[in-house]
Amino acid sequence: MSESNSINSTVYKTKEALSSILEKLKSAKDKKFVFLLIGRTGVGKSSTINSLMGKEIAQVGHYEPTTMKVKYYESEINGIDFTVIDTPGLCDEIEEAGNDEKYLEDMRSKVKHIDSMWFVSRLDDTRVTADEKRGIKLISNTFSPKVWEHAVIVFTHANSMAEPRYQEALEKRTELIKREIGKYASANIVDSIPSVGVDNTSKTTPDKEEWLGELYTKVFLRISDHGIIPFLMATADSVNPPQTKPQANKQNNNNSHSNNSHSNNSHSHSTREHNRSFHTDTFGKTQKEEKWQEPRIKINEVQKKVIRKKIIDAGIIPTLATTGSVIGAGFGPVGAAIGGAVGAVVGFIAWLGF
Amino acid sequence: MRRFMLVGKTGVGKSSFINSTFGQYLAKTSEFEACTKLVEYHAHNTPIGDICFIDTPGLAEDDNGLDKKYLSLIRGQVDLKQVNAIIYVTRLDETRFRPDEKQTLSLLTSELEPSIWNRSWLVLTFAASVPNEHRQEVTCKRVKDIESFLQNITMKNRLTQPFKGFQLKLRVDNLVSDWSQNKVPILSVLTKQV
Repeated sequence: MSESNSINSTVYKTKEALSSILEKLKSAKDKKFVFLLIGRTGVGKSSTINSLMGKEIAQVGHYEPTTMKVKYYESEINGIDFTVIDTPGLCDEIEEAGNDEKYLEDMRSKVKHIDSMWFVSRLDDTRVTADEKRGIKLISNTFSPKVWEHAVIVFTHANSMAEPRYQEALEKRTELIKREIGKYASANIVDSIPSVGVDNTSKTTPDKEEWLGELYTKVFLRISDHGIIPFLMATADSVNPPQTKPQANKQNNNNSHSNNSHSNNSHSHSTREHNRSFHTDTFGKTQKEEKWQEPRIKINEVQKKVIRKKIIDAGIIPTLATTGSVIGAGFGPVGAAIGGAVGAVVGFIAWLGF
Repeated sequence: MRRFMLVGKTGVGKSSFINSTFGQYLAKTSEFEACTKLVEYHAHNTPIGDICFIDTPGLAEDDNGLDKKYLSLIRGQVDLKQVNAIIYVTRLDETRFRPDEKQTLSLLTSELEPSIWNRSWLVLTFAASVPNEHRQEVTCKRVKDIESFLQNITMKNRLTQPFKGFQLKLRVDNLVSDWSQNKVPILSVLTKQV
C-alpha cells in the first residue's frame, strides 16, 4: 500500500468514525440518566454527588433520617437532564412492616431504569450496620439484583483513616459490604463492583491521590449502556474542557502520553502543564498557557485507559476506528467546531486517543 | 471491686475501651466486624482499686431478633444489682441521632430494665475524630439527644425516680492520644465513688 493510499484510507475511516459517533450522540440527545444513592443519612451522599457533577444538585441536609423516604432531584447540565434519587430512610429506618414496600414500589414505578447506583458508607465506620444490611436487602428485592451491575461502593470520610491503614480499611470494608450484597446478587456481579474512597473536605485521599478522577472513572466504568452517552455529554467538558487552541492541546497531550503512560498517579495534568512550560521558550507561548483551562475532573493515564475501554465496549466508536490512529489529530478541532455537548464528547474522545 | 457493664451498638468501641483502660489487649476487638458474641468479664487489680468490666455483645448488628437474643443472654448472665454502673458507649462523631441508636436505647430499656439508666454513665468514643473547635458543641448535641430520648421513653415506665441524666459523661478516644488539653486518668475516674 502506497503512502498516499494509506493516508486516504485513514482520512476515510476518520470521517466514517466521526459520522457514526455523531449519529449516536445525536440520537441520544433527549435521553436522560438516573443516579440512585443508597446509604445512611449523614454519610455524605449529597456532598459526593455535588462534587462529581460540579453543581449543587442535592441539598446537603441536616434533617433527621426518618422525615423523608425518597427524594428526587431533577437537574440539567449541558442540556442533558438527569435525576438523582436520594433514599434517606432506606438505610436508617426501624423496621415497620409494609411501610417500606409502599414507598419502594412507588420509586420503582417512577424510575424505569437506574444508570448508576452508589452504595455510600463512611470509611471509618467499624461495622456494616444492621441498617445498611437492611438497605442492601430492600434494594435488591425492589429492583432485580442486577441493579448491582451499575453499582459503585463509595467510602466517604477517607481522610479519617491514616495512610498506613487506608488501603487495608478500603479493602476490608469493601469485602464486607460485598459479602452482604452477595446474599442477593450473583458472584459475578458482586466481584465486579468497584469501590472508591472520597473525602468531601479535601481534594485528596490519604494516598495523596485526587479522588474526583477516580470516582468519575469508576462511575463511568459501571454506568449502564443506556446512561453512558447522556452522562458523557453532561460531563465531557469537565474532564476535557474546550481549549482555545485545540491543536496546541493535542500536542501537549502527546507529551503527557509518552511521559506518563506508565505512571499510576493522578498528577498527569500538573505534569502536563509542567512539560509545556519546560518546552516553552518564547514569551508568546506563555500566553497560550494562560488560556489553558484546568479541568475540573482530572484523569490520569490509568483512568484514561479504563474510560477508553468502556467507550469501546459500549460501542460508541466503531471497531474499525480503534485500530491505528484513526481518531486523533482530526477529531479535536472537529469537536471544537461542533461545540456544545456533542462537540465536547467528540473532543473528549479525541483527547482520550484511540 | 467495682463492676461496670458496657452496653451499646456494635463497633462503638466497648471492648477497645476495656483494653485502653488497662493498657493491655484483654478483650478481643475487631476493626471491621462484630466479634464480642458473649458476655465477658474482665477483672483487673489496680493500685487504686479493683475494677471489673462486663463486656456485652454490641446491638444493631443485624436484625431485631439478634438484639433480643443478646439482651436475653445479658439478662441471664448478669446480676444487674451487682453492677455499680451501666456504661452506655456510643460514638461522639455520629453526624445524626439515628433510628438504630434509638432502637438500641429502647431495647436496652425494655429488655433489661428502665431503672438501669438511673445509675448509668455515658462514654463517647472517637472523640479525636471531631475537630477541637467543634467538640464541645457536638458533645452537647449528642448528650442532649440521648438524654432527652431516654427521659421520654422511661417516662412511660413511671419510675419512682425519673431519669435525670447520666451520672457521669466521659469523652475518650481508644486509638488516638493527645487530643485534649484537660486530661484525666481514666482509672481515677473509674475508682472514684460516685
